[in-house]
Amino acid sequence: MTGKLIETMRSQAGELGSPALDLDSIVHEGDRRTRRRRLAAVVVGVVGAVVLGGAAVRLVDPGDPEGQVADGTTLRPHPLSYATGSRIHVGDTDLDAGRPIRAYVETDAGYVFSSTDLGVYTLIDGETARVGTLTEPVADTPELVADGSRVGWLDADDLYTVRDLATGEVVETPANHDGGRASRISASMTALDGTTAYLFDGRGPLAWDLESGAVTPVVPADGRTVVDAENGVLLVEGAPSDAVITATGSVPVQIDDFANLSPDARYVTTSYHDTGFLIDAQTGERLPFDHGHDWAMGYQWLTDHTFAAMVFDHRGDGWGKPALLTCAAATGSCETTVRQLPAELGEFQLPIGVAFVTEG
Amino acid sequence: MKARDQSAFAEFAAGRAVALHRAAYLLVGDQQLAQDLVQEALIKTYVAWPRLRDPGNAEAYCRKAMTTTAITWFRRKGWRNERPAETVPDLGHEYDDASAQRVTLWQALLELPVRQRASLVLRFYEDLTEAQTADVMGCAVGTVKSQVSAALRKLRDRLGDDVELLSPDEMVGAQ
Repeated sequence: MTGKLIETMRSQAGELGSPALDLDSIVHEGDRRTRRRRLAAVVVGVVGAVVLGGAAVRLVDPGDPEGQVADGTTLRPHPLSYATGSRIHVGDTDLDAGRPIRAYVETDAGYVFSSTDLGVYTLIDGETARVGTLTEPVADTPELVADGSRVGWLDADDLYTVRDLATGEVVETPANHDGGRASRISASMTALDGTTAYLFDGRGPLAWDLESGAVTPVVPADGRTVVDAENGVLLVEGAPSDAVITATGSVPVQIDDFANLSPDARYVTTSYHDTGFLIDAQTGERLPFDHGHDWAMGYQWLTDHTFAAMVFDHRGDGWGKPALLTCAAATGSCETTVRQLPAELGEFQLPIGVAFVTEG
Repeated sequence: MKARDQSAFAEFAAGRAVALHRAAYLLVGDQQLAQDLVQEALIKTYVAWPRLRDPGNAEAYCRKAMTTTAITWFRRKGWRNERPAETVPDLGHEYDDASAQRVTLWQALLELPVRQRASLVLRFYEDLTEAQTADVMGCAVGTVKSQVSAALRKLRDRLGDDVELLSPDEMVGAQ
């Protein structure tokens, strides 16, 4: 004899058939997480940072003027940096944030970081100030995005928030979790470009005009996420591994999960099948990327034509210590800037707004 | 993952999809969300596949991933007591006391805190022992006992003592 509880559960569950599973998507996402784990694993145990004398802050091509790009932001060169614990290392300088740094980004007006308490903090002229609270972030998704002097994130109570560090202006708009599948676990701000923030939630990929407050769907509508946006050009992920750049029509590119447009949207750094590439955003053509290491990926644009790359080399059965390079897009040539990163997992972050942690 | 392992995983996913979907639906009370939950649990299982070795381990791992993910989702978004039934059954002329009881009981189940609901699903729908349930939920056996007890008490408060939630045999297992 069966009681009402089991009878009811069986009755309710019994009405369901096979779910519409997307096996390709499962494998793609599983492979992506596996790669991140592997990458995270290779940096475990690395200790001691050796910054090459004189090179660390001499990253800016003197020929790159500080000018204005079409998205309205200044094109101010960023020095290469990385964070360990509560400190941001910029060349020979250590900036003390006063709190553990979970993820961070650079803006023209200072640094913004999330901490272990999920607070969002600015670090400007040595002063740390709390400016918000993250909605509990999902692994591998951007927690902070930045462009010019602005920074954006999904604040507590599911409010998309953008703060201009230069003016102190803050604008907000609510996330929408009612639109469709997977929305409840993936609402995020994925890119920021001048006065437009790109969002993803139950409504799909969206563009939020920070000046008018209007939130509109991103075209192409079947795109899943705006991976990056610069100078009015979007890099939109469609099917797994396939993305398009909306510069001149739709330029197809293949990416694993991370891609970064240069500030003038002329180049893209990305990886595909665990190999780093530099791509011409106008044509989709792969350009020379002579890093000289076994694994490399460009992760941040320091100027319009200069990007930072993280590299590893095989050592016996595993990997050696990670290093940071500075590379010129025009030639594809690179020079070592940080020879060894202190890389105990969770103590090492790069300014990409994503927390570099193991999969839970 | 090697091609033969991918093939084995695909076979596992296809073979267990219906059962996983049904259990997921009982955990979250929404078909679309249940699909998302199964998808997420299978992604985690895929990542762990090389070390799971046999289908039995994979099933246990997937069930655990699904349960803990559901609990996390509810905790993150504060869905507790905010999940309406996605559809109200059209009872029509077949409406009777038994049907009404099932509807009321289903609503009451959905209104339970997620850990209490999970403990009932694992103990009585999946037919796991208290120790197995504790392992899946990542808690102590005593916690499972208290969660089940609290959940049954709430259901009885809602439906009244006349409704036999568990048969005598099932009740023995629940003691």
